[in-house]
Amino acid sequence: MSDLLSAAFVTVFIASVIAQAMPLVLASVGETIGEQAGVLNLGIEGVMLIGAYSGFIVTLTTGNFWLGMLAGAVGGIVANLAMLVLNVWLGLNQIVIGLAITLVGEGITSVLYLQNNAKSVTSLGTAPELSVPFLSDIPVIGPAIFEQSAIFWIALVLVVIAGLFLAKTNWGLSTRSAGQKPSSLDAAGGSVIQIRSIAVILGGAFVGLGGAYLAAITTSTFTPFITNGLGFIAIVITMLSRGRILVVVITSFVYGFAVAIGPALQVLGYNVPADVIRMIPFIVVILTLIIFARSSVVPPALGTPYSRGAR
Amino acid sequence: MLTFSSVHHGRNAARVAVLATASALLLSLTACADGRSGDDASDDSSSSATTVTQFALVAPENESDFGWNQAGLVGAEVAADELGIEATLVPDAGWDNAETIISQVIDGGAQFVVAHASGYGVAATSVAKSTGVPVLIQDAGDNIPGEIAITQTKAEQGGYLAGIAAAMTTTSNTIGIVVSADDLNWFKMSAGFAEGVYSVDPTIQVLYTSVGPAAYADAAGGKTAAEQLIASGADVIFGMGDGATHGYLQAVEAADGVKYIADIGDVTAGLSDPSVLLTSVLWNYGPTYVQAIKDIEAGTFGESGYELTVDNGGLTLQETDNITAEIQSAIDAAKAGLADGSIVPTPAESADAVNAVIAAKGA
Repeated sequence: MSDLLSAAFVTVFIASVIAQAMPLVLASVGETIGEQAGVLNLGIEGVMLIGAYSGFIVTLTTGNFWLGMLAGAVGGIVANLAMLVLNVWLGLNQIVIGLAITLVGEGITSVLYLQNNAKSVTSLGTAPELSVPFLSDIPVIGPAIFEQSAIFWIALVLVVIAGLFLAKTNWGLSTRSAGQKPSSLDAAGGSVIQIRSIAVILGGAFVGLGGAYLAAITTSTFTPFITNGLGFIAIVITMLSRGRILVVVITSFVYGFAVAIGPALQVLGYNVPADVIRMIPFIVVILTLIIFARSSVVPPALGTPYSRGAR
Repeated sequence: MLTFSSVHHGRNAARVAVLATASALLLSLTACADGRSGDDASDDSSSSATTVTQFALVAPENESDFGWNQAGLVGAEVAADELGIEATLVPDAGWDNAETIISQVIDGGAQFVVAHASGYGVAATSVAKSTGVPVLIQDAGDNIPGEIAITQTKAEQGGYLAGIAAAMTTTSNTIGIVVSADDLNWFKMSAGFAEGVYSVDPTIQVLYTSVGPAAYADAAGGKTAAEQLIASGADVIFGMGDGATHGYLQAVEAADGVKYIADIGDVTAGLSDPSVLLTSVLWNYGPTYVQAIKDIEAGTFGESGYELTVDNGGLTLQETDNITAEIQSAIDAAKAGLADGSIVPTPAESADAVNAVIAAKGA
C-alpha cells in the first residue's frame, strides 16, 4: 500500500475530489437561490442534464469550453422557464412541475444523445489548465488545486459572488423575504413575482452550469443519465445548508471526498465491497442530515405559490 | 325514498347491463386472442418441422455502450446475414416491460427470440412457455427442450488472453482492472485476466477497483476510478462497464503512454486516438445464434445450452497494431492450452474471489 500511496496518487485523489464536488457546488448554489426565494425546484436533476447536454454539445462542436459552459447556463435557464411560467407566474404545484422537469430533462437529453452522438467520438478532451504561479509548485496539493482549468476559478468566484449577494445586498434581503414572508415583501413595495422570477432564472443558470461542469470538466464527455442522482443530493444539501453558501461548499466537498475515496481504497489494496463504495456518499449525506437536521429550517413560504391577498 | 331507491336500483341495473356487455366483449376478444396464440403455439411447438425465416433480439440498451448490447445486436445481424433470414432488432427495450416486448415480437412473426439480458430470464421463460416459441436466455436458468436454452460465457478464457497481451505490453509493471458493477461475467473475466498476466510475469502488480455495485452508466465515477489506477502506476487498463466505459476512455486518453483493453464490444468508434486501444475481448454471438436456429430446425433446441469459448470462436481478441507478432504468438499458444484443457483459468464469482486470485499471484 505504501508504494501505491505516492505523491502522484494523492494529487490525483485531491483533483478527483474537486472534480466530483464542483458540479454539486454549482447546482446546490442554484437550488439555494431558488429555495431562499420560496421556489422548491425538484426538477434540478433534469435541469442539470439539460445543462450538461447543452454544454457537451457546444463544447464538442466548437472545441471551446467557455462557450460550452455558457451554453450549459443558458440550457439551465431555458429548462427552468417551465418552473418560472407554471409556478411563479401561474401558481401551479411546484412538486408536480419539478418532477415533470426531471422526467423531461432525462428523456430529451437521452434521445438527443442517442440520435446524434451514440455512434461517434464524444471525447471533449481536457480543458486548458491555468497554472497559478508559485502555488502550483507546492508539492502534491499544488498540481491538484492550482493547476485547474480557469473555469474552476471562475465558477468559484461566481459562487462567492452569489453568497455575498444573498447575504449582504438588498436583492438578497428581498430574495430571502420572498421565501420567509412574501406578504411582508409585497407590503413593503417589493414584487414577489419579480424577485422569484429572477431567482428562478439565476438558479437555472447555476444548475445548468453545474451540469455543464460535470460533462465538460469532470467527465470530459456526456452519457445519458450522467448526473446519477446528483440533483437530488443537491436538494438535500440545500435544505441542510439553510441558505449559507459556505456550508453548501463544504458539504459538497465532503460528498466529493466520499465519492473519490471508495475506488481509492480499493486501488490501495483494501478489499472494500462495491456496495459500500456506492453507499459511502449517501451515508455521509445521511449522517450530515442526522447531525444538522434539528437546526435545519427551510423558508416558511417554500413551495407555496404567492397570490396577493390570499390567506 | 322509494323514488330514490328506484332510481338507484335503475342505475345499478344499467351498470350491470353495461358490465355484462363489456365482459362478454372482453371474453370474446380473449377467446380470439387465445385462439390465435394457441395456433401459433401449436405451429411453433412442432419445432422439428420448423424452418426459421424470422427471429428477433431484444436488448435493454443500444449499441452505443460499445459492449454487451452492441455484441448482441451485431451477433444477430451476423446470424441473419449468414442464414439469409430476417432479424428484428429491438434495442433500448429497458428492463421493466420485457414480457410484453418479447410477446410483441412473437406476435410480429418472430419464430425465435434472443432475450439479450440476464434480467430477462424470468419474463422470457414465461413467454416461451405460453407461446411455445423458443427463446434464448442468458447466464442462468434451466434448458427446456423446444422452449428455452441458456447462453453462458467462459469469460475467464477471454480475460486470460487479454492478460497475456497486457503483461507483454506494460513497461511500468503495473496493470489496472476496473469494473462498473458486480457482474458475474466481469468477475470471471477479471480473474482470468489476472492469471493471464501472472502467466507471463508473476511480479507484475495487478490493481483492481470497482465503480459501484451497479454503476453501469456512471461515466464520471468511471473516469475517477481509472485516473486513480493510472496515478498508481498502471499503464495498461482493462475496463469493463457499459456507459462507465466512456469515463475510462477519457482517463486513458488524457494520460500519456497508457493503453486500454476493452471488453465485449469494439470501442474504436468512441476513441479520439484509436492507437491507445491495445485490444478488446470480443464476444461473438453470431455463431451461437446460427447454431440455435439450426437446432430449432432440427428439433433439438433446448436439449443443451450454448457456451461462448475461445475454442469455438465465441471469444476472440480484437486485432490492433499494438498486438505485435510476439504477443500474438503467446496468445496463440495460450489458445491451444485453453482448447486442450491444459490451461483452466479461474471462473471467479465474486469480488472476493477476484481479489484472492490477484493475491495468489499465479501460485
